[in-house]
Amino acid sequence: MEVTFSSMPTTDNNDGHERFTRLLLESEPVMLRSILVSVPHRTDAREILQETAVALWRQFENYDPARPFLNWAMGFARIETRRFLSRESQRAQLSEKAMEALEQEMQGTSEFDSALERHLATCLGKLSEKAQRQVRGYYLEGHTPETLSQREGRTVEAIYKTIQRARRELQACIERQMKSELA
Amino acid sequence: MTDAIDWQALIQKHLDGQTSGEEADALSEQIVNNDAVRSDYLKAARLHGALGDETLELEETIPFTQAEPKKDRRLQSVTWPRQLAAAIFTGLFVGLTGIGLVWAMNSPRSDASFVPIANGDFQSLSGPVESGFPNRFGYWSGNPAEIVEESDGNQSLRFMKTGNVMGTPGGGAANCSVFQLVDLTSLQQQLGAAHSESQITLDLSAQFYREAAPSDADLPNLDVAVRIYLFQGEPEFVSNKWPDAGREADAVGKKHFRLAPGDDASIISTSCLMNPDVTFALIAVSANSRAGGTTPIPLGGYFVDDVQLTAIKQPILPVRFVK
Repeated sequence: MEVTFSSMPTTDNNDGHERFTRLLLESEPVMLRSILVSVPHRTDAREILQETAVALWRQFENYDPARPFLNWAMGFARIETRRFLSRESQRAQLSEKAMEALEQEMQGTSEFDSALERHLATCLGKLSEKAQRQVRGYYLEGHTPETLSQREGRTVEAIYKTIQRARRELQACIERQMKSELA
Repeated sequence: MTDAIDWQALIQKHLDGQTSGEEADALSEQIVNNDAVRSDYLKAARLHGALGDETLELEETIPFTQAEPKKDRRLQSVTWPRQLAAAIFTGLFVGLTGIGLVWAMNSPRSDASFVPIANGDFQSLSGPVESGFPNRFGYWSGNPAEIVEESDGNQSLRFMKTGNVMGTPGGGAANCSVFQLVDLTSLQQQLGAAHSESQITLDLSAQFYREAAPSDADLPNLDVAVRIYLFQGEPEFVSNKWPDAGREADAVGKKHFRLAPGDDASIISTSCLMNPDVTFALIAVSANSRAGGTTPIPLGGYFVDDVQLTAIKQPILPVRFVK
């Protein structure tokens, strides 16, 4: 076996790595949220994000810095999402047409996205203590409903229901806040 | 599947991976043909995505449920997107270059130096701090807080009441935060070429303590936090767009901690990587009621002292690999 030693990173590589990492970090939250629209399971979405990052890095030398990195990257994210769903075709998933419709509609949700960021914390504070605890466990602590069911002494189905009800309440609360801003 | 179906409920089930193939098909059809369902789905999915996004300020209203770290313990945190990015990048590095084995050579030497902030020990201040979000470098400003002097002459900052620092009508008032904008351009000039061969981390630490107060029973979930945001550009952007501007930070570090009345003072710290383009930092110390709502809440005996910002320079690990 040929053994080669090389010192990494070289200055040029280091510049490229650093630039790429920075652009990726900036775009990553938006990319992940967009992937989650088509693939709601967070572990799957992160896997797609990782595959997207690999694809982006492979093509990074072709990236035109005059274009927004996020727009360029989102094209890769869509391809990797389709690739993932094709691999996992046995799972219940949205149709290709539905995903296309959502991607088109996504252009028009910036008002809700902006309200989401402004009011989510406030609306979370209006949930019951139990719902807050479970939302935190599910999203921020990353526990599965099974783990939460043991911790809370409730059935898995009850955990799902609480989280789903909490999300509906949060959505309604954010929409109320949006309306009150317009009033 | 008919219109009698609760599409909202089905959307929620789908977001948790609970739909059957038939249900997913029915939902897909509605997303394509029904504007209201499509809009609802997008909003629900966006909310689902935002709830898992730690770059949002969600922790400030969601109560802790697990045992807290012991007092007098120094804490550090890195937000998950950066952990993921680091993992992704390491994976890329290994995966794309066909490396069989990667290791770091020797232990790097770290250098630490204090970054000057204004009145980090609060000794030169008196009375209430300025209210509102700061709009220039070098002073503390925020929600209602005041400087107090202890019997030994030491001064510290007392958090008095939660509030909405931007004065937004109907805005959240879950915490009492005091901010300072810190100019980093001199530091960056000093570091200069060091960036190409070193990794620079900024570490924000503060000492918190809590005294028993009559309102303690009303504030069971109170905790304290340190936060640091690094930005490029001019501070006016942050002053005008807070808290949305937080999402446009180049790097973010934050740590929450709960103290019981009478606990010993605890030092809390958080850190984040600083790239060469960063020009200023926003630092914040806060007490969080975790009660949510929009009504300011008087706080108990919460204090902070000895806020410090430290730049830590570590050599980039020389890595060798075998093909």
